[in-house]
Amino acid sequence: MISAEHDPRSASGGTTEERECALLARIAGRDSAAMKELYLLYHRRLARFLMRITTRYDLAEEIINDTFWVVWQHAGDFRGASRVSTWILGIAYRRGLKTLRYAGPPPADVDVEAEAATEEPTQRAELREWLDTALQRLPLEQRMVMELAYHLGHSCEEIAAIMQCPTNTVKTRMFHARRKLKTLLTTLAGPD
Amino acid sequence: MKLLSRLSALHPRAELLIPWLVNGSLPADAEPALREHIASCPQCREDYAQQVRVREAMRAEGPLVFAAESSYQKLLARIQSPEANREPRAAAPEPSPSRATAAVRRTSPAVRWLAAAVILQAFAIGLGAWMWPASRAGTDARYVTLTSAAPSYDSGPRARVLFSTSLSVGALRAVLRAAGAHIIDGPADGDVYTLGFAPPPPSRAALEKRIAALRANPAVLFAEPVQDSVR
Repeated sequence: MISAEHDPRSASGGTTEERECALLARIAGRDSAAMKELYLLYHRRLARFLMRITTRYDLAEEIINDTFWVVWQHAGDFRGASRVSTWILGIAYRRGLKTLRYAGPPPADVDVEAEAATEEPTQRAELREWLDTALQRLPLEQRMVMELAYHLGHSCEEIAAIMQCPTNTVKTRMFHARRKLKTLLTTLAGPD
Repeated sequence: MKLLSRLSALHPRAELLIPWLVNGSLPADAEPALREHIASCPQCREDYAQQVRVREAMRAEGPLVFAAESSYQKLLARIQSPEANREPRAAAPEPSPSRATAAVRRTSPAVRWLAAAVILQAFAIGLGAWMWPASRAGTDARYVTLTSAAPSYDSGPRARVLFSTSLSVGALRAVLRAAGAHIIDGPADGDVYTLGFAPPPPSRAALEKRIAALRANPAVLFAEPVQDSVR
């Protein structure tokens, strides 16, 4: 299922997907200009996605480059069974998990009550900050489902492909993530 | 009563589907029934509204600025390295671990072996540097002042290298001394430095040895002779 949002027509004609497939075909032929174009297209979204896993930019950058190393080596193996973004994010997700396994525990949890008491930004920025804090407190799998669905706009089936799990698992993770998030956001918002 | 029981039967399914309606990926044929349920169920209506706000907040641009160009230069150095071109594609379904990520794998037995190999290599490089005739390696103990004439590197072989950002000045000095090399240019794009070798210029075979020693050092991410400078 491809959402309309993720299938815009590019300025040069053709869909984003067609353009990215064409870039992959050129990368398979060792075209470094195509590699750079695809890299720059994906760098920001991968960096944001991976910062939800590691919270360390240097590690996120390493994972992005490891991911595109795989893309460089295996672009010719891509058969279009999924969207290009699903393929690339799947690689990044697995690399991220491997790195996390060896990088040790993430930084200590932020004190939610203290954060809530000291922040006074505007309402939208406030929600964003609370969300960042709350998301860090979710289990990794639930956090990733939220990020893939809400920030990157992937469908349930695509997330299942990226995380290599059944679609029902994705739905369940999303369900629990929303529940926990609701509780955490209420805590962060504090008493009226 | 029938309507109530129909709504309560729909509710658990609706709860699971709301996020996919919010992010626009719900199959079109499921959407009308879900919207109908949301309109009639206060709990799902509130949930839907909150999820829309959460999604908007998550999609908002944060304050982080990512340096894509400089990151790409690091990748480019990696894919242009001779090692990368030698590596068989079929044998690499996953990327070889980068040095930064490998550095955190302290508990892996494989890394302990790797560490032992690196120590052995470092010992070999140190021994090589000690045994290398000082005049050939360009490390003779001449007394050099700030006003001494600088040696010329115009006609000698040169190499391009990329050092790890974690390399200290002291460690960099050791790397250069072991290779009998001097930085003569850089940092250029992608933080690449050009190294020259003090006269007399090393032969092609000697140069290859020095480049190999540079590559063997984990702090050197990339080392390659400048082709038109090698005779």
